[in-house]
Amino acid sequence: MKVGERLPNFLRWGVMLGLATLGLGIALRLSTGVGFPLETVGLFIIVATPVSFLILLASKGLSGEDRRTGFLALITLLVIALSVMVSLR
Amino acid sequence: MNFALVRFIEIILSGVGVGLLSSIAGIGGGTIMVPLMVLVLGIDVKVAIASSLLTIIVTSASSSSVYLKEGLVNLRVALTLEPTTALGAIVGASITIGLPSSVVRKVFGVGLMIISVIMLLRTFTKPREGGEVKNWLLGIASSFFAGVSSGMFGIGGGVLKVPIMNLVMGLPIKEAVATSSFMVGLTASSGSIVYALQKLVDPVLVLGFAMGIIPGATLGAKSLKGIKSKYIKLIFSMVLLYAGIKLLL
Repeated sequence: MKVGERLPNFLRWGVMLGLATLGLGIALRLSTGVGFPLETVGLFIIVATPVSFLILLASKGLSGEDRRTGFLALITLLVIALSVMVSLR
Repeated sequence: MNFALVRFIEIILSGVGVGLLSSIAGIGGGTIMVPLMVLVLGIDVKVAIASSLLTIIVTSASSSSVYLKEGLVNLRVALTLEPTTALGAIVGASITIGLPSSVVRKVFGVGLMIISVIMLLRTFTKPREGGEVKNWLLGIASSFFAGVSSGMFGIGGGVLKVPIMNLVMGLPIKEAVATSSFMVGLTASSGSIVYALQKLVDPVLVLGFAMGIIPGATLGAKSLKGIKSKYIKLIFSMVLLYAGIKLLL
């Protein structure tokens, strides 16, 4: 399956957005001495970026372009979700 | 100058060093980052592993977006191997969280010694030309252990994934490197969810290292011309072996 130009950019810009949010959170904490949830949001964006990319890949594949790749992406997502749920118990 | 600012600059500079070394030695940043955080910066081994995994997501996303655009990533292979790899990463992260830091330090030391031996073997092993993809089951099974090592030690796991895809499954070396780079981000993401939920990630470390690694790796790639990477890899695997022994003692 060809992913084109836009989908890979999502990966790069996703982590950049996460880093920028993280940087803003750290700068605010260091300058004001008060913790802000922005740091947690930044970390969340970084962790969620590859998983969100997988969701986009699955939906692109399953919508008809390459069903097999889409199905494999869906399985990967399910395994990640299930394993995290089990490790939380 | 503010102590926090000095510490942050120290972390960024360490990140530049990690980026430079990893691109010259042709390995992922985690193998250098975690020992550096523990032995030089004096950070707890679990926090170092967790923060390293988060940083790896950033570096992997940057490189794999380029590989994806160039069509070098074999998505079928990546997505077939990734479910067991992600599962392995979550199992590895859970093992590390369950162990005391002193034990994790020793286990990491042993892991680092094994990685240095693999690096040494890879330096003297000629990569395969590649052809039809084969040995799927063996690839899927061994990917689980690459995932465990990633989750347990805070490394990308490319040191195992690339030989699995190239030597076992028959992927051309360029394709194996690109596919591994894409998988590393997903694997690190799975493992880091477990660490983040335990609040083991240090945001300052993640930002500092990510800010340093990206320019460091670019600088390393530019200075690579003219350097005999075989000798660099040889010296580097010796340094890793020494770091492993130091962590064990």
